[in-house]
Amino acid sequence: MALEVQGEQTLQLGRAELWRMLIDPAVLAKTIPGCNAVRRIEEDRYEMGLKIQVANVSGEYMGSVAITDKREPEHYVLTVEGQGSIGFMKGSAAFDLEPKGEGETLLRYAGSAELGGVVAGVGQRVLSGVAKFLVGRFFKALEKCIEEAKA
Amino acid sequence: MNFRYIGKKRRTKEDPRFVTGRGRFVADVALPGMKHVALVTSPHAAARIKAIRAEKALALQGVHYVLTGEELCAAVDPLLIGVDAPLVRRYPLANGVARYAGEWVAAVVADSRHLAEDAAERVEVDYEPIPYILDAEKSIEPGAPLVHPEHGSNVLYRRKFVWGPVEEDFARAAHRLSFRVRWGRSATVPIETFGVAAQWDPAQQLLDVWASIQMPKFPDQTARALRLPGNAVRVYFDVDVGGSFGVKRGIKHTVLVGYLAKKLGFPVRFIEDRLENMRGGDMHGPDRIFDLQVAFDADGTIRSMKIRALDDVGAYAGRSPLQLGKPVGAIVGPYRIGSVEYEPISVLTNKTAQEAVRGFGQSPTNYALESAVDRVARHLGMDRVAIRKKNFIGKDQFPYLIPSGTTYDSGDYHTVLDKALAAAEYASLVEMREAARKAGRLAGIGISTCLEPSGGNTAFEPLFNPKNETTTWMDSCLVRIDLSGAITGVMNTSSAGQGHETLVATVLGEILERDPDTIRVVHADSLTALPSNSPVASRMAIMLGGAAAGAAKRIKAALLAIAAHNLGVPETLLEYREGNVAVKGATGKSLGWDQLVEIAHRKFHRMPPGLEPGLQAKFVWEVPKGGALPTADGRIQMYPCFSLEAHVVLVEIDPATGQAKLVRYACGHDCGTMINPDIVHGLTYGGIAHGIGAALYEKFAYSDNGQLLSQSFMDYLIPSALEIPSITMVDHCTPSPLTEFGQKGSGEAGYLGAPAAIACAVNDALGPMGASIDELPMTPLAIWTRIQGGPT
Repeated sequence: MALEVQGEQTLQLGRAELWRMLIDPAVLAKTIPGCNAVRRIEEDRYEMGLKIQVANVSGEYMGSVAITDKREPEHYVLTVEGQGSIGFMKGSAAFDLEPKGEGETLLRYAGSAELGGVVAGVGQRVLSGVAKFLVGRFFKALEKCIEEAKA
Repeated sequence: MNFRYIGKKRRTKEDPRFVTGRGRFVADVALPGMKHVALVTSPHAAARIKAIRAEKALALQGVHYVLTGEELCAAVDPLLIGVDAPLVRRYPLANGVARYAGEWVAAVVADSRHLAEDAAERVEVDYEPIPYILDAEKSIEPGAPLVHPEHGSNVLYRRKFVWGPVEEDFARAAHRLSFRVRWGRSATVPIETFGVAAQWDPAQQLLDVWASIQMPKFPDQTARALRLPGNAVRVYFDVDVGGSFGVKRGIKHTVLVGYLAKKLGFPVRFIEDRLENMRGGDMHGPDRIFDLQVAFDADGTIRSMKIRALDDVGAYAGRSPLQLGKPVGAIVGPYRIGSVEYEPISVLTNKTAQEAVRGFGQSPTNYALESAVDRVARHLGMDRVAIRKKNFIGKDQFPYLIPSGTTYDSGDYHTVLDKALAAAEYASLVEMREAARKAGRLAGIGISTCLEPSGGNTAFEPLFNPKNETTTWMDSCLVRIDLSGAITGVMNTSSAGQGHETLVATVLGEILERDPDTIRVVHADSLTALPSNSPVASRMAIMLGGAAAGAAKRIKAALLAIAAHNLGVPETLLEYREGNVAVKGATGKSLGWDQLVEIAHRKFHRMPPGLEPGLQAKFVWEVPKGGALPTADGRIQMYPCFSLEAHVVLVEIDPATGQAKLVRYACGHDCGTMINPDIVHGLTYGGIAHGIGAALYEKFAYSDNGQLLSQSFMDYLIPSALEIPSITMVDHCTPSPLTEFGQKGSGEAGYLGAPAAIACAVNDALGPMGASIDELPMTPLAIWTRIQGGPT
């Protein structure tokens, strides 16, 4: 089943700095919800472990994350693929960075994910809520990283 | 007929056990040293299995084994398939390729189920996704991905039957209509999922099996797949079954667990959790597209029909294609339709496998037939009651031969419909509908008159597979009178809540004139059992009832022979009353039950010559009118007995939500002589509730990438007590001439007519706005979309 996410978020960081942060594997590891390990495979491609809980199902995915279609500092696509005990997932999202004010960037994102296995069928009606929740966690973690970088 | 116990309101024998929590289900079977199974399942619609790594699972303490398909499929034979398609191989675990999301790929055995589940999550499987097909119509087009490439096609079975002068009747008829209706993929979802425990005794070379089953030839199929002689598998039929309604077939579960128990040397039990049951339990029901053409005259006389039924059986087949076969025996419903063309097509897709569901394909067919009748009525502007009465087989026309070769035994369809209309207070129902419409609400009346074929001959097997010459579907009963004079009836299969112990006790009590409350009924195991074909096909009142009656009559005959010998008079001068035998007239000469029993058990010197000592009798009964193979053009007596149910329902729809509410519900029912009315009514209530689910709520929905979206009760909606209305039930009795007491089947009652009636009511409600729905379930969303002017 397909899961769509789309939205925008204003972040308190200049565009160039935010760009560097977003494609930094250390930041990826901290911001991708449930991510517990990132290992570089090649330039902009990483292997990762993901622990996730959706509705009453929890489990781990092993997979990869890749950054493609890079147009620094305004656009990139993040592709995540994983497989594990609760099924598989495959998704990608396009990110667009627009300068807003001084030291402020608007981040737009739009993507979709395909899910298979137990997680696809358990509470499909809650999945979009879960997706929103995960996006929220991503930005919360990102803001924390920004604060830490500023500190 | 005047009965002593039959048809009387009597408490069932099973109630005390179930009401006091003393049932013994497979979850209550605890064997010393027993281990537990959890499954690793494929998340893909179709995928090659490249590698399975079990090290991390096996590293957990208390995990004993991880079984892969590779090992299992080399050691067992494929499970039986109902049609001639030997290359559609099915094993308990995927064999190199997983063909639907949820298919079992590996089995983990551990000290506890919890541990087994944790370990299953640590089994790593490398999959290579491959092309898949989900759409039944596209699956039979050239170039579609093949679910089983070895089979060469996604068509499992296809044949066009023509019974009678179809083309001539179509040419002669004044009117013709063609339309499509669709029956959605639903099933029964019993409270208890499937479960099985098995234990191998190496000293006896014997596999003991306790399972939650309702499956014909289950011990035989288990033994065959495990490459064991039939007498090396002993299935205990005294395990209570927590609901089945057709789906508890469990053969793949049992072969898996039997293999593990034998291989590992300790008892193994597997009980599905709800997700395993819904995704991979292979218990989905028919998923059918009907294309119908109907030819009729201006006065409403229906002359002929052409029916094409495309059924999506999913990725594997057991008996599922045969669910297109049973309706052949009632293909014209209760109507005088002179000729029929029927083209059943059974196709494979990458979905969970289909299994038998209550009615074995008859309820979808009934829905299609009733849709046709309603459309003809609408087309002609005729009343829906009048058109049914116009086309009903008259009560004086029985036995009635239908074009497909089955003879209906008996019936009075006009009266049953009239009784249902009276019970529904039809005139006031119409007023209520009109009042609701005037007030701006959506309301509709639905009517259905549907047959329940019963008695379960298995004639669809030879019809759909010429290599299968099965022509008997017998059942048996053994009766023993012990030295104390107590009566024990032995039945030879398991029960899934249908009250067979009550059935046997009532029948034995009736014939022997002894109180059924004093009669014990036990279930043999499969090594001590007489032949049985399990409680499927609404057959037990007829077949087990008939066998019990036959055995009881033999006991009675023995008692009379003993009495005649000891009283020195011919049997014709004797009178049997309540187990005692007396010489007719006021002679005072008699022998009591206890005396007769004592002679049989102890006093061989007083036994008539030729009679064996002890007091026991068996009776094996062939299905009435069974025993024949189909004709070349596919005509056959499918089932012997035909019950009728007439449903009348008033539906109101909330236009804001699309929710259909059943305001009034009445069901007229004729299943011949009822042996225990409470059991019949209970089955019918349950059947109607099940039918409400199929009509309005239940659907195994798949996403475009082959994921089952309704895997739990959050998304697979079943009606709760809030959605089940108060139901008025009214009985009628047209005895069957083919059975001992005139009984017919009622195990599938309610379900066979409820979906048709409810669909009819919803469409009557939507009619004034020019909308209709041609697909079940008619979910609130589907209804709401139509109210908004959305597409069909």
